[in-house]
Amino acid sequence: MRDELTGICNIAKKEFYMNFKTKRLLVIGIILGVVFISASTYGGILIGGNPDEPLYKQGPNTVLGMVLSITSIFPAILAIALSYDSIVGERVKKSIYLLLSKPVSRNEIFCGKFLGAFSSIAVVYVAVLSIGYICIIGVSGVLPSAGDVLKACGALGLILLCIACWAALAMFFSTLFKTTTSCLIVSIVMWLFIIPIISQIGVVYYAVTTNALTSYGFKNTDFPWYAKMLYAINPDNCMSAYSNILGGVGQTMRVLSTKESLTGMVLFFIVVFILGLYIFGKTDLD
Amino acid sequence: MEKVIETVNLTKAYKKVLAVNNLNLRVHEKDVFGFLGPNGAGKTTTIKMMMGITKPTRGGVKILGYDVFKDGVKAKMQIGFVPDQFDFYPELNAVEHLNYYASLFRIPKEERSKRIDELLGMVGLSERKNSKVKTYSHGMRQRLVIAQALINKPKLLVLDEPTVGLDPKGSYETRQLIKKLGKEIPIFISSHLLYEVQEVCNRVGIINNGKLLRVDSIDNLTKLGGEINVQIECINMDEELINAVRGIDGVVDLSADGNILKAKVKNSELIPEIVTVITKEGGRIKSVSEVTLSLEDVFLRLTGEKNEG
Repeated sequence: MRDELTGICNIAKKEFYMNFKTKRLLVIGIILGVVFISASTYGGILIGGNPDEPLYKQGPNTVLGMVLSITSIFPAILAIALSYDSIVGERVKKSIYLLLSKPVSRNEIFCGKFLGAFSSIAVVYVAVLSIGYICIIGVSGVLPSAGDVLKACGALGLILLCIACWAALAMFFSTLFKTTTSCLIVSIVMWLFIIPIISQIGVVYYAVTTNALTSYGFKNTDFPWYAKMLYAINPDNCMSAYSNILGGVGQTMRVLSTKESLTGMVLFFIVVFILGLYIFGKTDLD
Repeated sequence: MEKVIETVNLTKAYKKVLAVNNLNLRVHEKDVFGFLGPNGAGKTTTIKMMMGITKPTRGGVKILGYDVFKDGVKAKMQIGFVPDQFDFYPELNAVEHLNYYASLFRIPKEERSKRIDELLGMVGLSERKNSKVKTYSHGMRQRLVIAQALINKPKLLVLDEPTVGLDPKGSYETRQLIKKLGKEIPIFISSHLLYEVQEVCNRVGIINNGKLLRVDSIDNLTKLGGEINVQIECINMDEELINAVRGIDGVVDLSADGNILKAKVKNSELIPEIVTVITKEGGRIKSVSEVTLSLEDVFLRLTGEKNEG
C-alpha cells in the first residue's frame, strides 16, 4: 500500500511539473486570473464606499458569488484541457510503453495522472480565488467575518469537487479512445450538450406536466426526486450550490440543496473514476 | 540453469489473426537470446505480453520466476526494457526523465544523481543532459532509452530492435554495449538484423506467423541439416571433372562458377575424396574451404523464404 502511494505521488509530481511547463495551464490560468481579478475589483468598487448600499451590508461574499458565477465555465475547461490526453496522449506518442515497463500498476498510473492534473488546477484556482477575494476586500474596504471566510472556503471546496468530476470524466474518455482528438471532442460534447440536456429533462418534464413554471419562475422549489436526480448528474449544476453557501447570489433556480449537490458530485466522481480505473486496467494497449 | 523467461502456451489472437500461437520459450540466466522473425511474425506482440502491456488470449509468462500478470510490479522491478516504438516527454530533459523513471523504481534520491551521471556518461549524453528531449536527434533518444533501461541495474534486459534508426557508429557502440552487458546479465533481443544477432547472441529463437520454429545455439543452427558446404578453387576445371565429382556418393549438390566449385556434402570425410577425384581428373587445386551456413541462410530456410539448396 505504501509502495503504491509512493508510485501515485511520483507520477502525480511529474504530471504537476509537466502541467506547469506546458502552455495549456498557463494560458487558461492567465485568462481565468484576468477575468476573476477584474470582476472582483469591479465588484469591490461597486460595493465599496457606500455603507447604505445593500450589497455593502451583505459583505464581500456577495461579490465573490457573482464572480464565481461569471467564471463558472472555467472549472470544466481547465479540468478537460488538462486531463483529456493524459492516457490517450501517452498512448498515441507511445511513451506509455516506457511507463508501463516500470514497476507501477495501471491503477497507480491512473490515480497519479488524475492527482497531477487535479492538483495543478487546484493550485491555480486557490491562488486566483484568494487574490480575487483579497481584491474585493481591499477595494471595497469591507472586512469579511470569520464565518464569511469559512463560507468562501466552502464555495472553493465545491468548485474543486466540480473540477475533480470533470477531470475524472475526461480521463475516463482518455482510457476509451485511441486518438486525442476524438477524446477531446467527446469530452466537450458531453460537457456542453449531452450532460446539460439530460440533466434538464426531469425539470422540464416536471414543469410541463404540473404547470409549475410561471413567467416568474417555478411556483415552488420542491422538485420531485427524478428531477433532482437527473439535475444532479451535471457537476456544473451541483457546483452552483456555492450560491447557497454564499447567500443565494447568482442562482436563478434552486433545484438541489447544498447537501444534495455535494452528494451528486461525490457520486458522479466515484462512479466515473472507478469506471476509468476499470477500463484502463482492462485495455490492451497495443 | 535458472530460467529468466518462460512462456507457456502463450497465445494472442486478434479477431481472426493468430499473432502468437502456443509459444513455449525458455531463456536462461547465461543467455543473450536473439528473437528473430520477419515483420509481423509476432516478435513485438510476444515482448508486449512479456512486459504485461498486452494480455494474452491464452497461456502465461514468467519473468525471473514471477507471473507477469499476477506479480507484474515485482517482475518489472528487475527488468530493463527498450521498446521498439517509444517517445519521451518533449518538455523534460534527460536528467528529469531518468530521475522520474528512477523514482518509479523507488531508487533513493541520494543514489539517483550518481547513477544518472554514470548512465548518461555511458551512453554519451552527458553534454546534452540538460537539453529538452524535443531537441534530441533520433540517435540521442535511442541512447536515452537504453540509459533508462539500465537505471534500475536490471537482472534482465529486454530489447526490442535496439539499434533501429541508429547510424553505423551508434549501432556499433550499442552492440558493443550489449555484448558487455551480456557478460553480466541475461538479455533478450528482438531484431531483424541477422548480423547483429549473430554478433551478440549465443542462442536464437526463430518465429514466423506466430509460431516458434526453432530455438538453438547459433553454432547448432549454422550446422542445420547436417550438411557441409565446401568451396574449392580449382584450375583446369571441365565438364568431365564436374561430373566425376557429382558422381561421388554423398555429394548432395554441386555448382561451378568460374574457377570455384561449390559442393554440399553429407559429411566432412568426403572432402579428401573430392580432392582426390579432382586431382585424378587433371584439376589443380588452389584452395579448399569449409563454408558454414550463415544465420541468414538458416533464417530464410526456416521461414520458408528460400528454397533448399
